[in-house]
Amino acid sequence: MIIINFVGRKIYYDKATGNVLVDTYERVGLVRQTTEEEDVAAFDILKGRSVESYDFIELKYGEYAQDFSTCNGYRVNATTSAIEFSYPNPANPVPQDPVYVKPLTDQIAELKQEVEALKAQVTTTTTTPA
Amino acid sequence: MEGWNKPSSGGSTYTHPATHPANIITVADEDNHFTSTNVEEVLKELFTSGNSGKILIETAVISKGGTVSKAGTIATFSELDAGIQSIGAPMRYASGTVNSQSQGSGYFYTNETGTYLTGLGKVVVTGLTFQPKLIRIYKGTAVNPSSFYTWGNYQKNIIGNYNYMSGMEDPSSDLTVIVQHKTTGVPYNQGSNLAIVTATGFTLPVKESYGQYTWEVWG
Repeated sequence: MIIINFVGRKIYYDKATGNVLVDTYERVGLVRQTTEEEDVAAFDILKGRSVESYDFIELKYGEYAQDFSTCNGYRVNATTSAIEFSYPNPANPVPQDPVYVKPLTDQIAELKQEVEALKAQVTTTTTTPA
Repeated sequence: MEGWNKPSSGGSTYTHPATHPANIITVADEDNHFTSTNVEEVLKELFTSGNSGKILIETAVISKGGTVSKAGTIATFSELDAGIQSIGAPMRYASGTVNSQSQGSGYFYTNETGTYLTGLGKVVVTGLTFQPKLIRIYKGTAVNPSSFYTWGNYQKNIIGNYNYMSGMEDPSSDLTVIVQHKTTGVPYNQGSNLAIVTATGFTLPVKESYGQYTWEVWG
């Protein structure tokens, strides 16, 4: 039996700046996640650096897919090790300096939670007798 | 002591040797299976015949799309068995995206005057769980026939003035890229081992040093 693997991205970044050094992208099929040693051997930009100068994060397959497809840049927050995206401004198509923010996917999820919490609060308030 | 001996009591005794060289023992070969007439030469004939049979089977397995992985020059029967089992096995597949890199040190090939050529980028993919027989790389994420390159057995694709072909030059492990001129067909030296396909990945040349390429492999 052949097992198809869905391998998420591994993003190597500069620990000082958060700039992305290597994105291994997503892979599908008879493929496995690569080791750090394999990645260092494969990507010249990692070969020439000290191990202490970079780190990496791993994402699940499909994670932040919409953010990656709509963003115009991404980096890893060197303090929190969380990925951040910059998005084009539809109101101002002229290229600007990127502004990195939390993924819109996460922001929307948080907003949904807040709305649900508010709804629950309103329901409780309106159904509680004076 | 072997041979004729003269004991102290007089007379002669014969001690037969414990072993005999195989080349002095004749074979009757009543059904005329062998051209040789002694055991030593007949054994050589048998060995050669066995090897020839193995080579024939290996060639047949490969021609039917199977793979024979052998540790030595001649496959063992177990290795041939595994090769026969591989015929008709489901095609394995994997795909992904990779950013190309500068070629770095080393060369992919030389031109017709023996000059090493540079200026190409390379893509490096690792983490495969099988050795691909066919590799397709294309720029971006959409399959555009004018912009993809294929490396595989008997596949020819043109980059500049060159056709790239890969074949089992080194049957012990890796596929080696062969480069030849697209009009003259003259093969060129590979230059170095930059281009390589292994059991877990590949490094192959592409046109750009900093571009996003999609890759697909079959094997």
